[in-house]
Amino acid sequence: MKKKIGKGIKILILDDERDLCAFMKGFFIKRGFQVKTALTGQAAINLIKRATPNIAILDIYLCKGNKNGIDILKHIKKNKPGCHCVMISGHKEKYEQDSFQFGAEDFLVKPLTIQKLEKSINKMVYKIKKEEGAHG
Amino acid sequence: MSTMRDKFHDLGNCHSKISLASLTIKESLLGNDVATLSKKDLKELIDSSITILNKIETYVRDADKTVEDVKQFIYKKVGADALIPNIKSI
Repeated sequence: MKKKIGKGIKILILDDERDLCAFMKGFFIKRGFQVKTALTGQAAINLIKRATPNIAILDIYLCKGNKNGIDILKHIKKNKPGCHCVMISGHKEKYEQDSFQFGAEDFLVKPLTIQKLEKSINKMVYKIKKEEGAHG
Repeated sequence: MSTMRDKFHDLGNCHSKISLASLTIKESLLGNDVATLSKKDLKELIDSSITILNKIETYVRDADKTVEDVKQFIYKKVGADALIPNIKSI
């Protein structure tokens, strides 16, 4: 049985690939996280309105809809600044600088492996727990 | 029509799906003590694993098709015998 490191932590996954969302969701649910998935930027915005995620995993290049992951990153940092954003893209040279400039906490280069994803999320969980500790 | 960026995006997605799908099967098999499962639970575990294996086969076929598209395009543009320089020197 996996250690439930994600207990009480909400994750939003934005990716236009339905199967990728489903696999990531299964992976994080097994580790105790509460997970919501969105296939488009607009769907992500709708979900964020209803509940604030602690962590958002945002694919930048989306084939569906008219918003990309950077648009959603900006939206989150403006409206839910406490949410930690992990960006995913195959184009490091094009998007990495913008991602950090707009407040992303991490940037993962595609192809995505579970090792990269797990390492990044563990880092976010550590930050969240530390912040919770600091706030009492 | 697709751009090269679209093609490599598709290829990256195939790779990511294969990686995550494999892990999903591995975790569900390792996370269950198969020797103690009831026949019904065992059947469910096998069925779900086969479903994911079928998906992996599809992703591999999709990746092959994408690589073939890119290959044909590059061969037409620069030729199959073009020498690839060290990427850092470009």
